[in-house]
Formats: sequence, structure tokens, C-alpha cells
Amino acid sequence: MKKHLLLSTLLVAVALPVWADTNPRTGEELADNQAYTYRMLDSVKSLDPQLISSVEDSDVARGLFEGLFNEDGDGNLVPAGAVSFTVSDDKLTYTFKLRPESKWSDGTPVTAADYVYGWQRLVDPALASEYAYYLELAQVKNAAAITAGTTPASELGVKAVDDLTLEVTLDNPIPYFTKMLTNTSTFPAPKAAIEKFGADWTKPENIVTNGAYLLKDFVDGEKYVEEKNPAYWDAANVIMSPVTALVINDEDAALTRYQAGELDRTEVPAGQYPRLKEEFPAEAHSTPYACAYDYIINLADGKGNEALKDVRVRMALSYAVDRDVIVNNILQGGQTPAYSWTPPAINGYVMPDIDYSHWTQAERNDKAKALLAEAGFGPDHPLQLTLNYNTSDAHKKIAVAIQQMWKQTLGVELTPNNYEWKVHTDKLIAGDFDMARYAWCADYNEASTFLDLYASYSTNNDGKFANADYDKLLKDAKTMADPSANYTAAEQILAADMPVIPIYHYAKVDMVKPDLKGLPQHDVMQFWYAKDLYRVKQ
Amino acid sequence: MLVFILKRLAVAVPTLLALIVISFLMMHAAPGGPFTQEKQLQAAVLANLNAKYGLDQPIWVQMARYVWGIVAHFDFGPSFVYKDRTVNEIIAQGFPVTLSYGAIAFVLAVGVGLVLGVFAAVFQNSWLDHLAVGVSIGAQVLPNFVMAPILVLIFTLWLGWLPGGGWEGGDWKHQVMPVIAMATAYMASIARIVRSSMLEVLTLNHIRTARAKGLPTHKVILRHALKPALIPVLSYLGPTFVSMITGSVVIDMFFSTAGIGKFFVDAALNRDYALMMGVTLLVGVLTIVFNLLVDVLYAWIDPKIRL
Amino acid sequence: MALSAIDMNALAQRLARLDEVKGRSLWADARLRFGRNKAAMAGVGLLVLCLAFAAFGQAISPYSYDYIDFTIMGHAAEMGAPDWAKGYYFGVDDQGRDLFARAAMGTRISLYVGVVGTAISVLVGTLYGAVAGYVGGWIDGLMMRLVDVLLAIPFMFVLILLLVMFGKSLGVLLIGIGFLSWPSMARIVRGQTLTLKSREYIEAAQATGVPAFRIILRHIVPNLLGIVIVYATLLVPDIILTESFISFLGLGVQEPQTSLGALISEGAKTMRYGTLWQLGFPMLFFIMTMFAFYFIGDGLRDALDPKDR
Repeated sequence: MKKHLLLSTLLVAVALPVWADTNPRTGEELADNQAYTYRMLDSVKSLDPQLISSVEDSDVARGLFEGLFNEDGDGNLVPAGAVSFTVSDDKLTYTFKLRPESKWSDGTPVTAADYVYGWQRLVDPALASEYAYYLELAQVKNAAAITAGTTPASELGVKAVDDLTLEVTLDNPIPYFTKMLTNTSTFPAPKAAIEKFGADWTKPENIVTNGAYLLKDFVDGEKYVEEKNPAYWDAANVIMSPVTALVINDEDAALTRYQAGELDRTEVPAGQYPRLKEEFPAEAHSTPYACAYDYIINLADGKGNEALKDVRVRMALSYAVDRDVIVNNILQGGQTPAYSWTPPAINGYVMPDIDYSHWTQAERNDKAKALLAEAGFGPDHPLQLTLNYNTSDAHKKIAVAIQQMWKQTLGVELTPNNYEWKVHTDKLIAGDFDMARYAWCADYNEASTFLDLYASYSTNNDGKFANADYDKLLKDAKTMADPSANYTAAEQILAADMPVIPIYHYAKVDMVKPDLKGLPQHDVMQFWYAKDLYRVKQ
Repeated sequence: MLVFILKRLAVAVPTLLALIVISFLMMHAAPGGPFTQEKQLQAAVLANLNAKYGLDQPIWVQMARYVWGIVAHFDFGPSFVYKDRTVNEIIAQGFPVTLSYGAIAFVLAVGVGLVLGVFAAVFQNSWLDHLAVGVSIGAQVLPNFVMAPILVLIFTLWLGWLPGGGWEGGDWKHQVMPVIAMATAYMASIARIVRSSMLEVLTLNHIRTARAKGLPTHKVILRHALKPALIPVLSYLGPTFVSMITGSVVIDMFFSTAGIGKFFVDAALNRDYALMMGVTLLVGVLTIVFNLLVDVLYAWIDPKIRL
Repeated sequence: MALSAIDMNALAQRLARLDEVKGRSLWADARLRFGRNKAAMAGVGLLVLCLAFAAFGQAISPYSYDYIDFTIMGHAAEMGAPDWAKGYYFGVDDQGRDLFARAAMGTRISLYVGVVGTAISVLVGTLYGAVAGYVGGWIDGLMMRLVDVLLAIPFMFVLILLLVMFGKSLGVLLIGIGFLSWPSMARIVRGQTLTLKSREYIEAAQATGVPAFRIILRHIVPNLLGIVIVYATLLVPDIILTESFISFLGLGVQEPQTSLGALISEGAKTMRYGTLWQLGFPMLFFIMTMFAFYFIGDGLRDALDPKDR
């Protein structure tokens, strides 16, 4: 009986926007079909907001759950679970006013206690989330000590003042704290359901959500189906339903299925963008994406290749990489050549003026040859190096191309070593490499997510680059109102010391059906929300 | 016969234990673990994860716990990577998929392979024989990672007859291409084995006599030649059936069928220890069972074989 | 492995029925019959062609297998078609590398993997089986149980783990494939050895105090030669197929080296994008190699099989 009731309300709610026929926000005329099907690379690993660690899982979870803020299509914060917030003068206490009409799918209101529970859960050693470090990164009080097991979770710097007031206390002020709150790990968690069902609470029959969608179907490795949640506070503006993610491992197979009309959105395989753009100008899109691709150099004492400890050698190698060939001939999808580490599209970041980015490749090659000769390497004494990269078609192509570039320009004998992912990472962490492929995607839309990586105290600084000036710039940046000058200066140091060879900055290259609207245009994080999508009548 | 079966089952237990030990050791010897990742985990986070999944224990304790979990609760543990699922759940979902397309492909492969092989043998050195041999070698050497995308191109993109992937609970339209891609190479091997063993049987004296007496060829084949010719095929069919119903990573990848074949390779590459063990044991048990079944079948077909 | 053990057993039994004296004429006879088998001779022809391509292909091509023509790279569909004037006889791959040189290298590596992998497998299998069969008793029982355990372990799983554990290299691949495919050979050989063991000349040798290992090497193994050769010839294409699957998974040889499997896998990926030659030429050599070994294997079996006389 109860089920029936639920079903009929659902039907009414789903049907409503179709009768309306226009998008209530933009006034565009809507198509009759408002179903959205997209390709996912891999199976969902978890839908538990606090356990999620992959981008694709987050995409699904952002439909089901909602945190304090969302991002709009340009990467700006939009109030979601929170309606407003205040910051104390010392910038250590944030007070969020929660949205009173926000409800869980079981009918109970979303309260500040749900956020407190979610956040405590995230750092709790018993849950053992891979994202437990995130609150420490956000400087939330006691986060690190709780994860280490020395302090109880109740001591976390987050408190429910009343049902609709959430108070967060930080150890140190950070300018981008609110930007970090779009990550699913900071979402509220439904305590009752989790305590009742344990690890099974994310199953479709048990799950309780507060987002715009309900989980209808979950077939591991095949598909995940979401349908509109009629209890969502902004349900009147939710148009797209159902939303289906299909797991398709092979990108070429996915493209075929897109062309056969089975998908509304899929990634473009490397090298195919120009052809597809010509054939389907309205469907092929390329937008900047907050990820950077580079080769890191092992500078650790007693590890890696001694020749690489000479900055002239590192410079020479970097100069001799023809980045235009890599973006224009291999990737061909609107990626941009990288001469700096942080992607220029990051919010509030000012690119430094890096001299070799203006040179022609011929000039770079001449300079590189001179530098390498100066460092004592030549035809009779060739530089021999190895490069580690993990198994992937695009990584392979880039490694093979760079090997040839260095061979043809510098006479460097590079041996590319391909390892599967886990071995590659293991060697990175152990410092067992000369040079290694590395990529980093932003955790939040701010330059420190990139630059902090090469601070000498960073756990992710696998090349063990150490520069005191660099460290100081970044430490100071944490408390500055506008840290962008420090970021620019830090980037200058990277260009001068060359502990990494930046290669390119990512683009998200997609085929999207022409009637599909509402995907982010300028958000480098590429966060998209199914609730913002709609199909227009053509 | 019963004694034989019991004896074999008794041997199966230490065999499986050996399988567990070898796989366990190999898995843990491989570099990297389930939680090794590019964004390196902090020591405290990693310690919590290891504690949660029992990886902080000595390896023999882990092994003992694992075996005890199976024996006492038929519990193969939680997946280390798919955090919302247990290994039991993943296998319960993925195995029926490969079992379905694998079993259909098996029937198809055996049926077509048999007919092809018998015809080729009966009409040895005719154009039919050459065609059958050519086709079967061709089918055997066409890798299924070439065949699968070609099938999708033809049937999905050009003809629009079949969906390009997915499973949808085993709807027949979603099974056609996986079945074809799976069956082809096996069909070819079966045809080749049947042909050669049939050729051998046809030279036996009583068959020659039967044919010389003017008995129609199809009767000779059906009544006298088929059964002995099938014996060599049988031993091939046991392991083949197992590898077909446990699926293929290529098929699960290209047709997005979410079968156990894909989870298997993923588990190995992700170092999802529990899932890897689960699938390995599944394959191991099936292999033992079907090898036993084949031996029993032998004895039944040919009473001269002593078990 | 797609080889049928029982099929081989029957053949092996018949081969063993001949004693050593007749054995000599058997070889001469077999050579004659093999020469008359058209398919087998065609197989030999194909094999010689593939071997020649593998051996001299890279020398014939004006380009090295890893040389990238950066002007063509990424535009193979428009500019990379086979072009005799430029010396790109088979065209270039989508990275701007000469496909002729790469196909030659691929053929070389695939043949190498197939032959060496088979050699390891046959060597281990034969010795193991012969020792188990000859020694007999509980040692035999133990050794055969081990074979049973090995046969129950999923082959691909172990191979993938080995490649992961020791890093991918040609050596690991060869040893992995070789060591994993020996158990079925061991079974056949053991059965054979059991039959041979009761022969008079073996008993005579035993009586004169010849050490067991020498008996195995001098008297048992030579008598298994026929079956071993047939088995080996049919195992080669199986191993080449296995290698192609491993290459598809990305666990094969290191770039810029390549194998036919790796080339085909790349070709299959790009087949929709207008570079069909990238699939076609490697596929041609792959199929030729496979046909060659199958034809030769079948021919050898027919030629060595004494059933017709």
C-alpha cells in the first residue's frame, strides 16, 4: 500500500515538467524525451558520500546527495544545503544557516546533526575512508588527530548549534575553505539508515538521499539509474529523469554506441576530436579541465639518475619536448601545451610569464642542445635515462613521441618503461624511478591544490623537490587574503628549478547530443549536476 | 565408480587449499596493494584501512581467517575496492551473466563444431573439407578483440539490429553478439578435433566393413562412428566449458555485459585481494568438478576405461 | 590450451608400438609422406615467408621500427596510407611510424615467443612426465597431483600476476607461458613412459646398471620424439594467440618494441578511423603464421602416424 502511494506521487511529480513544456528557469521549449544516458568508464566503487574517492562516483553521487554548496556552470559557488554563512573575524569559525525545506527521501528534514554525523564519520578510523585527510586539508579542528586514533570523533571542530545552524571551527584560516565544500565527502549522512543497514545502506532498496534524485537501479559494472526525487526542495526545477550511467570500458566502443544513439554523452578518444568536430560540429565539445600532465624527476638523494640532479640537464630535457606536437598531433582535443604546473584556467590564478613559453621550438631545441653539452653530454657520451609510465594508450603515445624527440634533437637514449597502474604508483612512492609520468587533478578550484604538491613537506612530493623559498611562499599563502601573487612566484621557482617537466593541461573532450543543455561551460572542475540538465525541442 | 568419485573429491580439498595458498602468496607478492594510489594516502589513513580489512595481520593469519570465513559462513569477504559490495554479491551478480552467454555459446560451439568436423572428415579432401578446415582455422585465429568491435560495427551501427552493449537482465538481444564472439574460436577448435578423431575412427575395420556392406554413410556415422569419435572431444570439453561459463574479459569489456570475466582482470589489476581470490576459487572449483564429470562420462561411454 | 590431450595420447600410443629399428624407417617414411602433403608443404612455404619477413623486413625498410615521422604523426588517416615512393610499403601507424618495419619486428617477436615458449613448455613437460612415469610409485602420484593442482589454477590469472609481479618483459612472458603450458604435455609423456618402461631394452639397460636418469634421456625421451614434435608444432600457434591476448590487456612487450598481437590490438582500435592498413597487414602475417603452423602440425601428425600401414 505504502509503495503504491509513493509510486503515484512519483508519477505525478515526474510528469509535471513534461506538461509544463518549457524550462521554468530559461523559458526554452523542452523536448518530450527528458531521459539522459551517459558513459561511465568503470564500475561505481562506492556511493557512500564519505567513502567516495573517484571522480565518476562523485558524478553519480552529486545527483543523489547534496552538500552545503553546489557549483554553477562557471565554477562559482551556489547555495544548496546552506542558504547563507558568516565567518568570524579571525576567519576560524564558519557558521552556516541550513535550508529549512531540505528533506531526506524518507521524509525527515536534513539537520545540522546530519552534517556533524557525516563529517565525524569521514575522519573516523573505523570507517577508514580514503578521503579522511580531506578535513585535515580543510584545516578543520582535530581532524588529523581523530584519523590517527588519538582523539575521539566527537572532538571534531564541527557542531550543531541548533537544527538549522552548523558551526565549523578551523585550526588555521584558509581562504578557500568554502570552495572545498562541494566535494561529496563533506555531504551530510543519513544516520538512521546507516545505523540500520550498515555497509548495505547504499543498496537501492535501503538508500536514503537528500539530492534531486533517487537511486532506482544498481547493476554493478553495467548501469546505475536515477529518477527524480519528488521530495527534493527544488523539485519544480528538476527536468531530467531518468538519468542513466552505463559502464563502458572501451572508449571506442562507447563512441560507436553514442553514434548508434544509445548514449547522450561520451568521451572522444585521443586523436579523434578534429575528425568528429568536422563531421558533427554541434556535438563535439572541448572545455578546459583542471588537471595537469607532467613528467616528474627524481631528485631524492641517492635515488634516480645522478645526471638529472643537474638543473641544466632538466632544463634541456624540458625545452626539447615539443608540446605542440603532443597536443596537436597526439591528443588533438583542445588540450593546451603546459609550461607551468598549475592550469591557467584555475579560479583566481595568475599565470607567471615563463620565458621559454614564447620561444619557437627551434630556439628551445638550440638552447637545449647547448645546455646539455654544457652539462657534459654529447654524441660520445650520451645521456641514458628511463621513464616510467602506466598502461594507457595515450601515455604510451606521449612517451614514445618524447623518446623520439629527445633522441632526434638531443641524442638522449631514453628507455620508456611501461608498468601497470599499481606497480607504477608503487615505484613512484618508493622513489624507484628516474622520471615518471604523473597527473594531478584539482581537489578544489584553487591553485594551492596543485602547488602544495611540491612543497618539501608534502606527502605527494614523490620527486622530493625541496626549496625553502617555495615552501615559505605556500605557507604564507594560507593566511593571505589574496594569495595569487605568491602562487605566481612559486610557479616561477618551478620553472627555474624544473623539478617537473610540464607537458599539457587537460581538456574535457566530449560528444554531447545537440539538444542536451545545462552542462558546465566554464567550470574547470567539470562538476555537472543532473538536476541542471534538460533537453530542448529541436 | 562411487569410490572413484569419493577419492577424487577427497583429493579436491588439498588441491583447493594449495590453490588458496599459491594464489594468496602470489597476490601479496605483487607490488602495490589495494590502497596504493597516485594521491598517496597518509600513514594514519592507510593504517586505518589496513586494520579494517585485516591487512595488518601476518599473512598466514589472513589466510586462516579467509578459509575460516568460507568454511564457517560461506563468506568470501568484502571487496577491497568496490566498497559497497561483498565478493559474494559481486559473484552472485556477475557469474549468472557469463554462465548464460557462456553456456549458450558452448551449445552453439559444440553443435556447429561437431557438424562441421564430421562433414569435413566424411568428405575428406573434398572442397567441403578444405572449406571447413579453412574456415575453422580462420575462426580460431581471429582474436575476439578484433571480432567484437567488428560485430558491433555491423549489427549496431550499420544495421541497427542489436544494441551495442549492456545486459538488461539477459534479454536475448543483448546476448547475441557476446555469444557469437565467445563461440567462434571454440567452435573452430572443436571442429578440428572432431575432424581428426573422426578420420581416425573411419579407418577402423568395423566401420570400413559397415561402409563396404553398403550401409548409408549417415547411418554408419550415427550408429557406429560418432560415439568413439567423440571420446577425444570430451576431454577438451570439460575445461572448455569452465572457461566459457566464467566468461572473457574481452567480451565483458566490449559488450559491457558486467560479467565475472571483467571483474577478474580488474581485481588482479586493482589488487582487490578478496575478489581475486573469490573468482580464482570459483574457477578452480568448477575446473575440478567438470574434470571429474568428464572422467565419469568417459567410463559411461567406454566401459573399457577403468577409473 | 586448445590441444586435445587424448587425441595426442592415441597417437603417442601408436607411435610407441613401433620398436627402435622400425623407428628409423618411420622417419624416412614420414619425410616422404610429409613431402607429398600439399597443405603441409604450403604451410612450410608460408612459414619460410614469415621467417624471411621477420629476419630481413627491418633491414629492407628504409625506416627504423621506432622512428617517428612527426609530420605524419596524428594524421595517419590522411597521410599515412601505404606509399611505395616514400618507402612506407605498408603505410604508417597513427604515431607516424613505418608499419612495414613494425610488422617485421612484430612477426619476429611473435614467432620468438611462440617457439621459445613452446620449447620451454615441451622441455619441462617431457622431462617431468618421463621422470614421473619412470620412477613411479608415490613420487609419481605426488607429481601428478601437483599437475592436477596446476591445471585447476586459472592460467590467465597466474600469467597476469607474474607479469605484474616481475614487471612486463619478454623474459617473464616467455617463462610464464612456457611454464604454465607444460602440465598437459607432462601427462601425455607420463602415460607413454609407463608403456615404454616394460620394454625389453629398458629392462636390459636397468639390469646392466645404467642410471635411471640416463635411461630416461637415452631410451625414453628419443622414443617420445614423434609425439613431442607434433605437440610442439600445434602448441606454437596457441602460444602466439595467448601472447596476443596479453598484448591486448597491455601486459605484452614494452613499446616501442611490438608484437603482432600488440599491432593487431592497435589496429582494431583505430579500424573505424580510416587507417585500415594498421589492422590489415599485421593481421595478414598473424594469419599466415597461424595457418603455417597448423598445416605443418597436421601434416606432421599424418606423416608420423603409423595407422595407415
